[in-house]
Amino acid sequence: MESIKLFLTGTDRLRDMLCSTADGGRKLSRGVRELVAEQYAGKAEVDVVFEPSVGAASLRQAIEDGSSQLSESAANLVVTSVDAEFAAGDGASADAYESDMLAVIRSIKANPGSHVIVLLASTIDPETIVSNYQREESDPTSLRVHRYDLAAMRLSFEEGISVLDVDRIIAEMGAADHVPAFLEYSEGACQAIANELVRIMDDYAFFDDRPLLPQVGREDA
Amino acid sequence: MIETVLVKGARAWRSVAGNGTSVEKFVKRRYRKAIRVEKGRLATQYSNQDSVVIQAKRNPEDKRGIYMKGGCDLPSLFLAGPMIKDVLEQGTVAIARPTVAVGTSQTSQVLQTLEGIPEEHIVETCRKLQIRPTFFKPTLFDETFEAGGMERFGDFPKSAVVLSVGSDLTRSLHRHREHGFLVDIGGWWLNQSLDKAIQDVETVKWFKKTFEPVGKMTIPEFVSNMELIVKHLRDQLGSHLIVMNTLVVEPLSPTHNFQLLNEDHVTRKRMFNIALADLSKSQGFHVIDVDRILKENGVRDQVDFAHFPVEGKMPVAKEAFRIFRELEIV
Repeated sequence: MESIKLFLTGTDRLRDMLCSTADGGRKLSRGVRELVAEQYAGKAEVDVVFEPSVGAASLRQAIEDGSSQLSESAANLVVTSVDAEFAAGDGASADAYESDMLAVIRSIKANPGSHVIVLLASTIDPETIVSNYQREESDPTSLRVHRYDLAAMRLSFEEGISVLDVDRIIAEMGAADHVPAFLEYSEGACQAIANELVRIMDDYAFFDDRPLLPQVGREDA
Repeated sequence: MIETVLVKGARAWRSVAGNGTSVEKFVKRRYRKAIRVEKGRLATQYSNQDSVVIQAKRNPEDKRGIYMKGGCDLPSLFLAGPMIKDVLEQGTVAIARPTVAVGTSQTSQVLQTLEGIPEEHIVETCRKLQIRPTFFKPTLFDETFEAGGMERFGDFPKSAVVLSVGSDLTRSLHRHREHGFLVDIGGWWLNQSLDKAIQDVETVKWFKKTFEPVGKMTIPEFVSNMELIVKHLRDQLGSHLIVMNTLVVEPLSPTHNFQLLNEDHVTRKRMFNIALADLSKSQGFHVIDVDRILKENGVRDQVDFAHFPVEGKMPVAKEAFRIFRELEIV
């Protein structure tokens, strides 16, 4: 049976979206590990490792100075989320995020067979409705998410990583019912996000005999 | 119910008489002109396909106008009519769009009208592509407008102009090889029966020989065009500008890896929305955040970014109404 090492790095919100309460999440009874066990019984199992991090800059630093377990983890799949940028105070600019994530992704891809998935974030902030941006001193939260999401999409073009489009999933379900607060998603939304990660893993052929879809990107193509 | 009967009747008629007959055109013109009247406690609302006029009992001479130019997402704002009717204590307010706007709303086209294209340069194009010469006139920058089909209310000032990014986002223009003016061939195809358009091979050949494609608009072009339009609207008309952004996600799209895709196609809508927000910051105009509104409402049943289900139209209209109130237009 295939054992897949899933390395999650980010804030507790990332764990809430993908892990069951048994694995440290706070919302789901069935996280990615349980979903894979149900859907691919006897074929694959997932071993989940979670490491806290607060944004791409700190993750890059942790990888470079060796304080992250990521370097030694031999993870098959590394999952991170743009929402971690909001845990780091004012956060980085989208350009800085893109640059830091580029370094992180290349470091992960240096291990053959390692894949990267970045969760986008929902742009909905129920507390902030902006119709004239000139009145805002700095970018509203929603606009910042748009910029981070766009940067992550660019990294998908350039580096071949996957993005899990949380913005789309929440929009399909209706954010009014599933985003009680900025970057906080309902249990139903988290379940849909966990389901989507399993679908993406299936696309990559983690659960069958095909060769894994490579994350080539443009530079190597 | 009436709409269903009309649609079935039209299909039955076409199966016998064919598409685009003079009888069909006559009925369409009459239907478009039909005015529905709804009386309220404070005001009465008059509406047809292209305009809504709300007239209060008090001081109807005090006129304010909201002029819309753009794509298929704009008519949602007509649903603000009943909201205005319920609060309008005095004056007359019109919300209107040009009768045919498809194919004339890209900002490059709007700006070229300011350059004054000589009549003789466009005669052949207008005839061959069935474009009205007014398409090349700077009607967006006229100080006043009439509510189409309701001319009896007279002219309205452009208190606010509402645009949407949809045309700049999606339309591909063609440039006249000799005279340099731009047309949107999509307008020609969409404004008539496709059967008829395809049969007209000679016009297609002429078009290919006379025009060259210029492709879709880039973000820097969009920003530059919008800055010029804002300047003209403010300097010439003193109008408020309100722009509708667009839904950036693709409902039900299973794509998660973009390494083999065209970057521009996938990220274009998000880039336009970000550019629009940045423009709002630098220019101070209002944005109707259609992206937020539709996402809040749920987009699973949405077929594309510009055609909202009924449940999506009302919240968009409510947000427009909120902005109209904030700007003291109503």
